[in-house]
Amino acid sequence: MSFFDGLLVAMEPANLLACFAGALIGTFVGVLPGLGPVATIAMLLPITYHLSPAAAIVMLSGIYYGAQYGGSITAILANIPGETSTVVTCLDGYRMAQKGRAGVALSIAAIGSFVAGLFATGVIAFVSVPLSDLAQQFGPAEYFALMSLGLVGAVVLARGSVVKALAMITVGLLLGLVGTDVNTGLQRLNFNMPQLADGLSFAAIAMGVFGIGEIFATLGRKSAGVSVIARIERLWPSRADLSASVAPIVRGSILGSALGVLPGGGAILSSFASYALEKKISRTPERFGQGAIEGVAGPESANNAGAQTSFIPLLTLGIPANPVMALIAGGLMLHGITPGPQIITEQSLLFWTVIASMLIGNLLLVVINIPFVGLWTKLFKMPYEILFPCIVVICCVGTYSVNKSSFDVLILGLFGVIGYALAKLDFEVGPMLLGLILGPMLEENFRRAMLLARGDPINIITRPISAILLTASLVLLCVILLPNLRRTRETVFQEEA
Amino acid sequence: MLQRLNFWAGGVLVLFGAAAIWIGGNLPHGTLTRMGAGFMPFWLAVIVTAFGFIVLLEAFWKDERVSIPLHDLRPAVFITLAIVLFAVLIETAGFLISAFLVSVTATLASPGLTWRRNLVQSGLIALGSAALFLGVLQINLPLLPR
Repeated sequence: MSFFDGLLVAMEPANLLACFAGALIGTFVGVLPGLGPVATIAMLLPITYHLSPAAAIVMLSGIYYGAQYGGSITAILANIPGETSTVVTCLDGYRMAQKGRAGVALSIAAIGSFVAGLFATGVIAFVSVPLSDLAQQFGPAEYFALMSLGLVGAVVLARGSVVKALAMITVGLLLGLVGTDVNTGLQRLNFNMPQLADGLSFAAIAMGVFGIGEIFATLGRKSAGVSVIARIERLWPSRADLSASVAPIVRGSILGSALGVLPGGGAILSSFASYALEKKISRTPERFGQGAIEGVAGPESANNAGAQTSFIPLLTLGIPANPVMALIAGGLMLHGITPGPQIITEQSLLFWTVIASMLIGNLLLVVINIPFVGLWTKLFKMPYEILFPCIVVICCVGTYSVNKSSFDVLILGLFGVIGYALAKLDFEVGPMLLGLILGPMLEENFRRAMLLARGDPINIITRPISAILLTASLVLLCVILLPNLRRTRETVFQEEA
Repeated sequence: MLQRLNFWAGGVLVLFGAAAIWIGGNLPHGTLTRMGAGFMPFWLAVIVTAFGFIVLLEAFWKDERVSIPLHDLRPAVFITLAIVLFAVLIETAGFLISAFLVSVTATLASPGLTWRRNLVQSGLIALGSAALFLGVLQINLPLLPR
């Protein structure tokens, strides 16, 4: 199986439609301020159960990178980041719009995203196969170490207290263990409820804490009033704009692709890092924040590249790097596919179809975005009073349709309330979701590793690969806890809020 | 103290951890070589409890307050009610009626909408979602009451 087999399958009408739908929905939620890709993917997760596995993953991934395009539209035109990953685009993009260069900023963002998307697709295609070959040699001990690293990485991006983020991961791991113990068949932590024998429904929890929880939060906020949307005069960038943007786009693509692979990485980290980089190496850093085109080109390329390469750890190692990937892992599991290195060998056609669809999706996004940008800005004004009842209905029907279980719908409601309470107490739900999806895998590998080591925990530490991975997670943990970095993290997230 | 954010945050973690330890109390732990079903849940719950105590300690020197304004509770109540309603209705009342009532209840979460607008909007949402789920996505659910 190769890329071209995947391309052929991706060109099949059903998959092409899924790709288009994903890109369209992604742009849509990117533009809408009250709805992000995480909530949307959570909402649509159960619906994809009724599609073919390939179409499902093609669509879900389209939503993620499509949202990166859409988010930049509102960031540039209205100074409102539709997505957290487009926060930095506001800084210079909106300034450009105020100077009457909104169209140029939009085109550069789209061109940068497109180039970065192509580059990242290439990176995935070349890196994944060797990486999964390497991962095939991993034993349970290595897997346990790798998952620990992934979970610690999830904390890097959590805002606020590190201890609270770690606590949420552990809570997630614990929730993941509810249900039947696969090794002994015993029922655990299920309050003697037969509905919980298969564990808590991942889709219901994800929709509850993200979809429903976000409604509570948005309705609770006082509406900020309608903001002014900048007019678009000139769409195509001049030759000077283009030549100023080439280097930032290339740097953003490379940086974003590299950071997307890291645990905890993805679109958000990439865009922040790229902005910082461009500002640092610029000969005229004072122009940043005043409408520098490099400040749009770099981060916009980086966030799209990062969004795409964050698929690498999921597809090759089975480790979701961020909450969106945790949801996509959940989507794979709904279709009975366990994320891991065996995907490339056993589901090779699915793998290449998803990769090829990213190429098609990025092409579609340019077509959807640039000519219709006026249409998208109209959508931006869509009243939330219409949107949120739709979200509630979709969440209810979606949850119910997976197992035809009213019990799951109640779980949805319960976790909506829990998500709300956690947000009020300054807990982040993203790390919890990662824990939830990794809980059973972590336990399984830990138990197997200990069985192979005859109960000697030292064995896990002395195996070279797992030793390296565990040391890396320990170092990462220390770095996060260092007061210096903590302060930078806080300022980064304050800028965002 | 009772208004401090981390007091509640830590308290919730401690309670959650303690509850998990208690509920999983009768599960066999096994040995390190052959772990029983209760091993991981127990230790994870212990870790959660420990984190809870750390957060509780933070409450003493970080004075952040929790505030739950009243206009926050309205969405929480009505949307939760809407979801519970769906769980109760969907098995008997059919898709259209369930979706309609869910939408009507959920819309009540936002103050300031007239009843007429709510009913019209909810009717459209019910029809639209029926077309999407039963028509386009071919999900096998009864449209009308049995």
